[in-house]
Amino acid sequence: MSLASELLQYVLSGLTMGGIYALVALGFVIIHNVTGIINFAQGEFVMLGAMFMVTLIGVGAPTPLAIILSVILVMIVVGIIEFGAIRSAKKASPVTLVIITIGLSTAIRGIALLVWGTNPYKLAPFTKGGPYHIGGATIVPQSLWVIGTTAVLLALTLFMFEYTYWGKALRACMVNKFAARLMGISPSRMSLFAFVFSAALGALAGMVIAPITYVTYDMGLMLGLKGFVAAVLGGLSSTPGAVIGGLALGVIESLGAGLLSSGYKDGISFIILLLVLFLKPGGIFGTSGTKRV
Amino acid sequence: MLKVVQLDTYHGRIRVLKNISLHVEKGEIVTIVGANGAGKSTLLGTIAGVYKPKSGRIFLGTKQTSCLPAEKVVKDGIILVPERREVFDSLSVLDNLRLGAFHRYYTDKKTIEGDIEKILALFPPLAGREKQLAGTLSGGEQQMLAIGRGLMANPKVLLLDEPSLGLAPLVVKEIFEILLSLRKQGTTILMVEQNAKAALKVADRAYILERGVISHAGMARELLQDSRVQSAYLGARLHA
Repeated sequence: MSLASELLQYVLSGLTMGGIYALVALGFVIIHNVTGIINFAQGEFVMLGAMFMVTLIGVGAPTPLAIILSVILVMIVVGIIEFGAIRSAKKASPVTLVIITIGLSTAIRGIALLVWGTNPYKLAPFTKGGPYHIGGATIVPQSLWVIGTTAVLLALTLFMFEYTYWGKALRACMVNKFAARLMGISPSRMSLFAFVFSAALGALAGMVIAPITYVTYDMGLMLGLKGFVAAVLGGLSSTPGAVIGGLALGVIESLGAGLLSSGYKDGISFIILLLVLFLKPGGIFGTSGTKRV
Repeated sequence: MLKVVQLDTYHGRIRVLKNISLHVEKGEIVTIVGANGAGKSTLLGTIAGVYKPKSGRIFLGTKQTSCLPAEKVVKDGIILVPERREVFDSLSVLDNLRLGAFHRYYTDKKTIEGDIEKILALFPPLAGREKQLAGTLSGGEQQMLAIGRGLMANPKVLLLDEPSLGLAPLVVKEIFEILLSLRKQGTTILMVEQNAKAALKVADRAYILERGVISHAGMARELLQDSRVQSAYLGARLHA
């Protein structure tokens, strides 16, 4: 294999993982912007989506139905969690709430361990066929599903924020919570909406990636952390930043793993996180808003 | 229209408002003037549901308002245009106005675009700049947008917190003239101001707030002539 086709291969697989990181990062950014919380349980939403889907497929549900049901289930679970664990601690400081989400993440993982055990589950790809060859690189159909789903979800998210009234209200809440309240926009309702929406994004990410990576009870931990790195890379408050951060992280990781050693794959992500936090805490793609006082 | 009865508000253990009673009649501009830290913003914030009063009641018409939280008080018909304007700076002028109507957006959808036209006619500097981001407007324009956004809620009473803050005298004049034309249309306004002179000139009646207590109340014109008020708030020297 020539170097060029090898590089293309790394970029393609990087974009596949990067798309997943982008979706997870988007969840971090939406929740952080609306509530000020960094939700470390975001990765568990991904795991739950994949696990519910595996279970539903296991009992004989067709793939499309399993996808829809799993998304709804994860949204309900997260809605209950927001209601029970986050809202009841509304008066606590953001740091306390962040620690609550770490606790939630551990708890969800523990429950998943009890329910689904430690064995990895395999999920069949959504469509048969492939792999396809592009310029010396190969790509499996499921990767195309991942990239396509990511693109559609990102477009939907951006559409929601740019063109729908609810999206605008959510942004108003992100920009200026105080003024939003004065207009009658309820922060607690927006917080619930942000959590449930991020849950749906995470769950879908988990389902499309499942056929590529296997499904395990603890898959959310690493995906959540990577998504966090991507969000930080993008500045933690910008939605386009999260997307670019996710894709960039996926590609860098894949290139690093391919060109250096696959053992460094996770290390590279966290070195990037440390570098960003040391050198450019606002994020590489972080944009500073205009504000006149 | 708006009636506040024996209001007490605390920030932590500090009693900021002490037994405040006041009333605003329909179509009036009433101003509350006072020095920094007198409790002016706390008073408006309490009426708007941002702070919880320890005791006292607030009536709108004959109905007692919800008092808390702010997002419900809007529905009662009270809107606060906050100090420092607090526009949604990364959203467009048009979106800011639309979001002002949030509490009635789904019930009143048809009238909203028409209302936006009315607001733009009221604030000519905003017209034609609907797509511009609110954060890129000048201070005066942002203040106009903040008032316009407040009016979009179709309030029974408009609460203005320091509308002149940080603005050039000419802009202050422009904004206060708009307040007068709002009154002609029947809008009821309760306004807090440090710029006592400008406020007393446009207002019908005024209250003077000193360390959480209303020390004077009366017709704005009379207070403007009152020598004690002049020396304390209007910069006139008694023995000059």
